[in-house]
Amino acid sequence: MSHFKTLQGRTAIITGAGAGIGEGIALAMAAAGANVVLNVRRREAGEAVLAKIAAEGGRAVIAVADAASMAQMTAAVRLAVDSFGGLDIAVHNANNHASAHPMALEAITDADWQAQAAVAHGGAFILAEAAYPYLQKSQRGCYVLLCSAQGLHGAAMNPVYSALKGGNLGFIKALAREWGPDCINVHGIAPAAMTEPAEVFFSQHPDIRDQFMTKFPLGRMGQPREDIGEAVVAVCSNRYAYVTGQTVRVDGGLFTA
Amino acid sequence: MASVNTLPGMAPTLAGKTAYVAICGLGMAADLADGLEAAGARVAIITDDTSCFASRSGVEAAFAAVAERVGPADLVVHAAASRALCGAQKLTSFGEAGFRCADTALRATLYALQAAHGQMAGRGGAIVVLGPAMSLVGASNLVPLVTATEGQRALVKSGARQWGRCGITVNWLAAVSELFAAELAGMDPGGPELGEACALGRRPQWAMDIAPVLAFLGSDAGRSITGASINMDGGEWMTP
Repeated sequence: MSHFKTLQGRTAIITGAGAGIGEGIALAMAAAGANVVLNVRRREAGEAVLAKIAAEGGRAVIAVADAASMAQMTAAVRLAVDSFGGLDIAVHNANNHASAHPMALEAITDADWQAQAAVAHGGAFILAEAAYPYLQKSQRGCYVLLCSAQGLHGAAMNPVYSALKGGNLGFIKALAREWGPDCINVHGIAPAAMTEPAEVFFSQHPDIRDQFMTKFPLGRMGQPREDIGEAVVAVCSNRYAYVTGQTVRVDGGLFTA
Repeated sequence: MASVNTLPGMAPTLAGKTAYVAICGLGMAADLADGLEAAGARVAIITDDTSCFASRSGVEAAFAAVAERVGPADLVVHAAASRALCGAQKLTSFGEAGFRCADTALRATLYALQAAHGQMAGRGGAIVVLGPAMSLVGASNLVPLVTATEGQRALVKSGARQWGRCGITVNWLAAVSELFAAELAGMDPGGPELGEACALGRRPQWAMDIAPVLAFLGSDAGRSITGASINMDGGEWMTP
């Protein structure tokens, strides 16, 4: 994939880049020529991705920072600028693991809420603020927020996750209007990806997997790099320069409303 | 009140029902209460004056106090913004306060939904959450407000899915943004966020126009509608 170096010479920071969709985005962007800053909470979480990028001839550094910390993310953005001379693309992908747990709305506690909100919403605001001066300077800046169709249809499983992802959809629309005059495009990506935990679960429950896959018109879940990562590369490329404020569902047709 | 009662849409669809108007950080409670009373409901108002909406226990206590006075709620109408933090300004001017602004409003709605559920569990009922229609399309200089509003709308849908089998409907009503504009310091009343020309040629008003729809959603006739986003902006945006 990424046969063309559509992001050549541009620098991207990706939160939650140590595994799953974040890893897929990082690998795809590096293959497309971008300098990549892998934001992870623990350095060892980023080492394997760093090695993969290096093995493919790409350029990357690790920025250890909590995506919910303004001070730490400011430092991470600073590392990007110091390492590669600027910042053109900011991707907020990090999420709290509790987002996958079923919850009854009436039983949600402040702790439940805070754990997810600090990363999903707090992280989005923080990365936007930290990256803004550099995205503005870039004159072809991109801010990408990983969303979910659950924010549109309000899944029953986890109301906190749905609410926060719904909020992210609003964040994208509002920020796109605000940052348009600065030549910064703002995109949402709503993926359905086969991550490692999902693969493990489905390997143990093939009947559930088969039933679930029938929901996808394309008959499969997306691959983090080949499907989700390439979609992020696409929206950040100059070919999509006139698109902003949209959330692209990269979900094999799962949600079509 | 007399002018409200004369409207054809104000049939007593809520006769015998109790409605709570639980509003945080916004100023439409009295108008909504007028409209719901005109529809025949017993109405109690819960605002920041009686509950700060800053905690679940605070909102539940306010609901319990009202329930002692007028009975449990059959209809809860709710809206929440955090006015003190949500004035119109650039995202980068908010700093981390932008997140806290959105989070305050979202949590207030979570608490209100939970308090409403506490009264309606085993009995059923209707919950309607209100927000500005501008959230459907986004608004420059209002990133926290739009984020909170769209988050509230998604939370409504999750509530609808989880509580539908308990006989509780949960819906979203997107009201014309201009009705919220007075609450948002610094917002440009002529800005594009307030929409294009209104198809109806007039802006819907809380008591005369919006309350009748709330009454319908709270009535027996509205019991099959849940998880819906009802756009009452007079035809500004016509989304989706």
